[in-house]
Amino acid sequence: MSALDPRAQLALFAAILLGVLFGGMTGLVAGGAIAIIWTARSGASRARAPLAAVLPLALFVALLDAFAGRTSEGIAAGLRLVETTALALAFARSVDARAMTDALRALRLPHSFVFVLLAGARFVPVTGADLGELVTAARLRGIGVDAGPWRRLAAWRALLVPLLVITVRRGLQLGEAMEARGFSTASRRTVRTELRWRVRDSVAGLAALLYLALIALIGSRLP
Amino acid sequence: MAGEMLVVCGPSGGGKSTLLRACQGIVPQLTGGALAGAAEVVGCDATVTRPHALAALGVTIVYQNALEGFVADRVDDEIAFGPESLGLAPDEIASRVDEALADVGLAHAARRAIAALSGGEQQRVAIAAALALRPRVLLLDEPTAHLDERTAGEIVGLLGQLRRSRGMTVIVAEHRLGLVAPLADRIAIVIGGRLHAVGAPREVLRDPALPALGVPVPRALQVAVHLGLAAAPLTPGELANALVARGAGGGPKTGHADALSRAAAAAADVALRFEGVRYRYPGATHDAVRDVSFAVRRGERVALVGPSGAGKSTLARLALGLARPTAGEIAALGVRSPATSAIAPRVGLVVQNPMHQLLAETVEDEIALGLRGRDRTGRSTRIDEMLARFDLASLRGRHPLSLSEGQRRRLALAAAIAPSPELLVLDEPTLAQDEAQRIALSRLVRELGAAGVAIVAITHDREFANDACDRVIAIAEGALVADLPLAGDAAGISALAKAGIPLADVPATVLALSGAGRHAIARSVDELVRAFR
Repeated sequence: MSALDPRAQLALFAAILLGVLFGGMTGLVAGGAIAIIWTARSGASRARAPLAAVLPLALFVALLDAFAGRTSEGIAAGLRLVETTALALAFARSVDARAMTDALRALRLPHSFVFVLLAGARFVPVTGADLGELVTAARLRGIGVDAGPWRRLAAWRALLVPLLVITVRRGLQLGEAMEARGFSTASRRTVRTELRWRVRDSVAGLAALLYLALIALIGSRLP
Repeated sequence: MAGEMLVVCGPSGGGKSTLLRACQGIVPQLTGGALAGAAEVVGCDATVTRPHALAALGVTIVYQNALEGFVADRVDDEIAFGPESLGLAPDEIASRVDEALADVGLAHAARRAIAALSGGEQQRVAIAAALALRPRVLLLDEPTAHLDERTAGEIVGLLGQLRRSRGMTVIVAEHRLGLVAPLADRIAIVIGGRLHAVGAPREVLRDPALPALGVPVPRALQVAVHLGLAAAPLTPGELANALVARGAGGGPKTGHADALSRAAAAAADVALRFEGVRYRYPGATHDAVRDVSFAVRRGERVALVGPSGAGKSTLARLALGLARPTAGEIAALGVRSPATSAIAPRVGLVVQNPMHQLLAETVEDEIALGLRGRDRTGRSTRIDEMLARFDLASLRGRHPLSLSEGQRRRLALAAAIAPSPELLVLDEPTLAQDEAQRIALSRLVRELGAAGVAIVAITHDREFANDACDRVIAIAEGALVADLPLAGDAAGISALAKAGIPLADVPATVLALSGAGRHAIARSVDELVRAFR
């Protein structure tokens, strides 16, 4: 996938995601299979923690629907949540952030908006590391981050304020650094390397459309 | 002046960063606040010219923590960011990226991930990213603060070389005056938001009042001033030459407490023991800690040194039970393979960034967090004692995160010490601390050691290690490469130098004097002055 133009990569990802979200059971099954293969190939160990974090929420959604008498809809909603997370994680690990920025800019999105997305993506691991440091400090000071659910909830609440303050400060620092390197100067930024759309990218784009058409066709034939 | 190198120095919170950010137009335009007077940079009024416009005119800033200012994941993308922002043609951008990479010696790393680089390489990327703007004025805010001594020396050398080859003006805020002052044309001392003095480094730094004001005057120069030498040495080599030229003095006039304190430590209980410890992070392909064995006794003060990424923080995590060794055994305070919960009330940790450690809603509650086992009176007495000791009494009701950087650091230390830990781990405790704060911290560490607390201080600060600790453990690539006493005699200092441990100014001077046939036993400025008076 990394050999493709980032716009083609984006198109393929969007097609799989649309299938999961709106393609009924066919989209869910196909998306689930792709998510499993993709996650295994892009590093399953690193996906374990975020997927484990989203599982309780998926279970809660499924149970809520089940109690309302919509068991199959509930299972589908829970699966959608897990698959979307797994696909987003695999996609984020498979693509180059810079290439994706170029793709979004080539799609005529404002460059300030694109850089907010890029900065947001860069902040995910940094914020994770900050949280790790806070948890360490809490553990050493006997704050119940590993205790029972209620104490744990109170402990995590204590970590949120410093985490928010640290993240905001990092954001301000990054904003300053970007301005000091001329971020707001050009009304239209230039890029070092222009994107090149090749035949294989057109094939990938067609494959994305074909995938969606197949999901719709199979879905319409199912009872 | 165009083309000169100006060093800005002074105590923490004195206004160094504000001054640099005002040169870039960040203060007050992005930060708010009122700025009176004029600030002209490259012929423009920096109080009204936007930071990005100044960047286009050749003014840019490099920050202390390079990682916090990076926009991209890859080296060449990061360097291209500035020229792309200026709207330059693709060919011009590519040429500037190549030129900047070559200038900082990273031409081979163009396509590497920034996160995979060492701290020194990341700082080189930050400098290259600034160079790609072809700056006429390069501002640097403590660019070596997070680096070990050797890497810091390389970065400072690079700055001197770039300034000559590119003919640009360099304004650098820096605490490591021993490294940077010999290259500077002028030095500006900023204290309490005012310009205290400006001029040639060797003249300005001779003021004997500066160390007490928080200015990190090189110890070599402090010795020369105390002895009334005409020379103004900035490095141990220069001081040794001046002392040799002076003729009189020298010889072991004063004894040293090293042997005495080592004998006392040898008799004390072991507080922390590592036996053949190995550790590998989950998913990693090699060990982060390799077969490490050492013991720290109660009352010992150990400096843990080594380059960034050597495994120092991992050792600290293992010692505190925050990670389990892959092989070998650890005992902390008599507990084998300690779980954090088992030793938590008896150990203390002060992390690099106090923001990562302050979890309560008031200063008072922050200190009280570690005192939950005590009765109300005992708790209240200890809180008052800590507030008074760390000069925080007037701030007891404030939110910890609303405090200044220096106040936050004092609070983090107070909160860690309040429960009277038996083992205290300090991770880069002098980061962002001025000279007065470093001296106070060294004194505190010595007091805690005298009270029987075992202390492990991870530090890049060779002067702090020399002032505060009595032993040094050096780690490289996860393995223990040296475990030596911090000595004041030439033989002991020579052993430290041979092990590659960066020497503080006074021991380095003693070693240089020994090479010239003059002998002294000294670790502190006072001891060396006494030996030569």
